[in-house]
Amino acid sequence: VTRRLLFLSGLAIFAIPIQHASAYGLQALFEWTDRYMDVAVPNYDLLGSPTYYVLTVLRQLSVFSVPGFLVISGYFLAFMARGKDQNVSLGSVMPRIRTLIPPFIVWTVIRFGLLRRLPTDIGELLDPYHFIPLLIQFYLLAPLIVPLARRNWKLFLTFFAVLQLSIEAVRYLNQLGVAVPGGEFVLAVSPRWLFYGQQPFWLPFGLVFGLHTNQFIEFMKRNKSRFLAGTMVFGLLSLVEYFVADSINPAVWIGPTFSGFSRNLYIGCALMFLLVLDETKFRFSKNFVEWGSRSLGIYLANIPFIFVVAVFLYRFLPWTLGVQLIYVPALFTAGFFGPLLLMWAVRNSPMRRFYRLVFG
Amino acid sequence: MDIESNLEQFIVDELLVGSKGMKLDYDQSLISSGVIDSLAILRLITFIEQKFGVTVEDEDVVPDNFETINIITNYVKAKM
Repeated sequence: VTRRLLFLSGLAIFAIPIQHASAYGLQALFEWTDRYMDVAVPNYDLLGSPTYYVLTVLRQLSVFSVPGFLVISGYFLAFMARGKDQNVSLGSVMPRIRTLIPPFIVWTVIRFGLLRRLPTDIGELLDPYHFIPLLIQFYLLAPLIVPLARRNWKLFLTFFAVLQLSIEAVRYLNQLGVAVPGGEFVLAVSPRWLFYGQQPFWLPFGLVFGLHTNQFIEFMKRNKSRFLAGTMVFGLLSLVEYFVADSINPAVWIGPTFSGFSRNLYIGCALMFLLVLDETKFRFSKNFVEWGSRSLGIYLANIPFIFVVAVFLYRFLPWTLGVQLIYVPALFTAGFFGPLLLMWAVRNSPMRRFYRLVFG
Repeated sequence: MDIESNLEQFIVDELLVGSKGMKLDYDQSLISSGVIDSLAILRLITFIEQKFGVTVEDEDVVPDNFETINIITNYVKAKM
């Protein structure tokens, strides 16, 4: 299963710049339209165009990335829990936390340096690289959640599933314009960088998967074709849900971040299918395994790379914003291969000694 | 090159990038020193399988088999 987890990490990290590039694409479509057309912005003339649908599909279907990383991290906690320190004490996770903090600081400073301003609040500071704060919180919670996962894993997973769906339900209704008593408060205290905020289920799932790997793998193998079918059906449903919610929402456009309920089932089916997929039959399997092993560095560096290229295109080649076949692939290339190139350059230069500090 | 040296080279070159020339104590815990994280354990296992031609079973992925270079070496020898 280890190679498949690296493969999953590779697919997940490949999807991250797709998600970011398609978000920029949607922004260029509606908010920067005046850079390539003689219109006032925001302009929603292209809402419902083939480009809009393609970008939305790319964005919605690439949402399994962070859940995938969380499952892998949960598997690592399970690995630690199978040793002498069965409940995974804080002392065991502190070395890992210490290695996560410097790269997080480095890339956050770079990001705000590029924006040439300071974050306005803690949310803005932690949100772009929210996976790192999430991971640190889960590591800090390890001494509490590992024994609970051991004691009754079904109840443990049910708790986190209910927690995730409850907060999502409030967010869902809010996005549809339905007022929920206390809803604003719930949303205010559940940002995505807090462990319970948007995806509390996936790391606990990875932990349980790691503690009962053989049992889960047997189950997943038996139901492999069902998980593949589920991935396709729920992937499609999550798109339908998005477009229906968009039509109900009182705003002209619901925005790129809407997440429906089908999305969870899509992510769950996709992850379980990928965990038993014979990745060796996949043509670029080796590349994905290799990229997967460098996923943290790519995750951290992709945001500034995409930002720099997006600013360049906005200022100097604004016509590209209207040609999404050029714009989005250019941003993706910058966000994916830029970090890989930078990592290679640092590894092979006198800066090598800073590699772990910068890329984790 | 023996198993220990191969493992040490992989760990220093790939998992501890930038620590070239660093000499790892073969009895030093790779887990409590923070060398092994979620991706590092996966990379280490993939390396062991490719380099030494052994299969690391899922139930063998426990700290008792990957704590130190000496322990990993004993594990690999037992699997060969």
